[in-house]
Amino acid sequence: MRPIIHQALKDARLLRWLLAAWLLVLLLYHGLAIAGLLIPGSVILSRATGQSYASLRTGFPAANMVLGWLGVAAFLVLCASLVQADSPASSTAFWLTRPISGRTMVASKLVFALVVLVGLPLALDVLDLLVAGAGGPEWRSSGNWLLLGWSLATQLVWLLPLLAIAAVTDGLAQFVLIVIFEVLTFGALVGLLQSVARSWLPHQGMSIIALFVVFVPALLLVAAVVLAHAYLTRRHTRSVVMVAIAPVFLVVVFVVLPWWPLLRQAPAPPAGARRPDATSMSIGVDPAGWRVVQRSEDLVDLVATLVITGLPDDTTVNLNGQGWLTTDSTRLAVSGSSSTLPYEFQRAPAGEGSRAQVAPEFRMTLGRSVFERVKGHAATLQINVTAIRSRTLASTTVPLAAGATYRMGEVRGEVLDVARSAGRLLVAVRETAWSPYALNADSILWALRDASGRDVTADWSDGWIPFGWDEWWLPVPRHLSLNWWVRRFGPPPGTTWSGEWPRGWQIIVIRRAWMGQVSKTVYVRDLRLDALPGAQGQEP
Amino acid sequence: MSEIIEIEHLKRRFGSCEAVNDLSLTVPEGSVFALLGPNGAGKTTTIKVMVNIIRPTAGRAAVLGVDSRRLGPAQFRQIGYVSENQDLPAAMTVRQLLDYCRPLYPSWDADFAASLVRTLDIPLDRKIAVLSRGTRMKAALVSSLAYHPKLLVLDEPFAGLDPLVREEFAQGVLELTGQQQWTVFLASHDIDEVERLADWVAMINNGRLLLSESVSSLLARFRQVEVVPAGESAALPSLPATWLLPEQAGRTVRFFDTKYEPDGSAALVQQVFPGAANVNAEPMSLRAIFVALARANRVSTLS
Repeated sequence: MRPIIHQALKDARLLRWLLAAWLLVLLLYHGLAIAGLLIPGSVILSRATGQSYASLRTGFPAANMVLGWLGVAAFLVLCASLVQADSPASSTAFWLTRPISGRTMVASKLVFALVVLVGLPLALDVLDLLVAGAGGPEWRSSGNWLLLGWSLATQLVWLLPLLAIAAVTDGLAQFVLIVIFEVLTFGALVGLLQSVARSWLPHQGMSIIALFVVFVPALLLVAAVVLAHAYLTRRHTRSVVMVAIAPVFLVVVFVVLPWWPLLRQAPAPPAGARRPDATSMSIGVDPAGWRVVQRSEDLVDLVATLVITGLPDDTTVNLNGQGWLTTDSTRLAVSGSSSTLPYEFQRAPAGEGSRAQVAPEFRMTLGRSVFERVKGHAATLQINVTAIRSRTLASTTVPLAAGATYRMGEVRGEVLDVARSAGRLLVAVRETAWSPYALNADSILWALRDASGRDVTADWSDGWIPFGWDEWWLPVPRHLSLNWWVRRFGPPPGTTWSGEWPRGWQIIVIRRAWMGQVSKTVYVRDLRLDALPGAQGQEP
Repeated sequence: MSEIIEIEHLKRRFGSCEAVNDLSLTVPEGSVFALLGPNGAGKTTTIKVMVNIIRPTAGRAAVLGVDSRRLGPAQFRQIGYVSENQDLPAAMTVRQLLDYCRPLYPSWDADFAASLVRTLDIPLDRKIAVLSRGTRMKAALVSSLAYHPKLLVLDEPFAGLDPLVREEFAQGVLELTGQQQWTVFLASHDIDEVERLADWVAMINNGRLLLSESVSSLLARFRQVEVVPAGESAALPSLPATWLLPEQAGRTVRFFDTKYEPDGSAALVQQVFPGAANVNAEPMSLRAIFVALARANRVSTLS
């Protein structure tokens, strides 16, 4: 053990300036995140409604992104420098003629990497977590341990392959080139495979977990074998060949191993639950609901009312789609999404989910000049609309008051401020968690619930994730995730709010996880787009 | 005297290039053995195979009685290696380098290292990256001598050194060789330094061994001979194979006798050039022998 520590200390001394730079970036990143936790809530809301909101919103994520990428760059250089300081690929390396075995050398590199390149970021994560208020019961949360494992795995998935590539390359430039080559080769192979077998790599549900469960060990195995081979045998050519064929090997692992057909099966539905049936869902267009709206000087929105039936219980939809608008002489690509999502809540009575859901504001945006080309012609719209199903995993309620806190799973939230503006209610909330996986912004659903139990969804929301979002898949820094949200609630249809704050109301926070998606192609024939841009809301 | 290095039919190929071809030699323990050869002759490749930096394509090399492919920490504690092709940790100071090396060698002699540093006048607290080439080589030498290795391998130690540093370096090795009972294996194309240092020499060219013997024996058997045959100038007769690079200038014939012995060589000259009255056999320097052998090798290769 002593020779291993001796080597690791030597590496620490040699890399001290690079390490110091990397640590500085990490500390700045985490420090900024922690500073974000300490900003008073009233500031958030007032800025959310004022001019300085924009600068706050762009400033933190920009710093977050710059620091994040700096940290990643330093991590890459550290990995390369660590191995190439005692390269097994070079025939001029100092250690080759010294009484240091390849086993000692590779062990020392791993010890250094695990203690410094993995351990230090994790220690900072823990610090973040403590500052964010997670403690006690949170540590016993299985989700936290899962996130810890995920965090470690993410780190190792980068670390070991980078060390392996550094072990077969000479110099930083060669190292970077080979890293790019490996990533591109693997991406090209996956793309090729997906183009010839579309069902090969589904992205939803359990398959993504299966992907991780299989991909990570396979990648780590390849990297560990290359690294060990390079140091123990110093047969450079063979090591290079192993690295070159590694992407092919990883793809073959997915395709050939017998587990894959098993994992491709959809997960069995819970006992007693009705399995969501895609074929029972239908999406139609209300022919009376068509409008043309001028969005801006250059853009025109085609607004449709979609009607969805056959939704399984306990399901929500999020609509978006792409397709074509065709006339006799023109074919235009269009895409659209629903700006008013027909969320259905967990507490909807059983069977209620299968009632017809209406999305009155499905908008497809066209350029005004493009619109002019189809205006006055009979057109056919063919659009493939995707409904993303999700299942509610957990929900909680929180009093409608500044300073109120809640915990839900691995997430800790705090109501920063509640304000009234132009007859509507603005609520600012900050959420923190150890991992962005727990803060999947798209899966958050909020509603106000009145004293009678009726829910009111937000009619406008805006939020940003200054930390831990863009870099969730990168080695460091990525761990503390921090969300700021401002949501606006209007009075329920047909009612007005009057007097002081709605008494007895609560915020309901519902967390959900994506489970799958269903696509349906919608046709609208003989559509006449006669409205002039600028004539708001005219029907065609 | 036992052999500290044994090389048998060693081959090393890089693609289609035969860097070392069927090389066999032995290095007696306690000798200062010089491997001479022009650039690209295969000296460095031979050394890299010997110290297990690269593997042989065929044949074998044994160092300290162990196959070179199996050399490990136990053997490297007894081997010192200094090469112009070695990357010292540039970010370290010399002091840090010595501190780093010390725990690796149980026989590390700190006093000896300190005396070497003084003798070779090495600045301890300067980074290796900013040291001159010569000082870097001296630092490498100290880090390779301080544990009293049984075998010191020097690969082109004089390359690029200015005369003053070269003198210091050679002097240091010479003095230490006298004090320490070690074997020195030296690869160089610097023949003058080799002549001062080595007591045993091997010459290789194009990866092939030309000779391997003690310096004294080599100097004793090589002569540059000038003969003025009797009678009018005529075409050269058939000459013994041991006479290299025969030339004729006017009536004078010059060649290098590689098997010179005072009585036998004189008789052979009389046999080839009957009646030759003027025969002059001059001793040769190692440089002259090396140049003659290299030229002869080139001529035979070309022909």
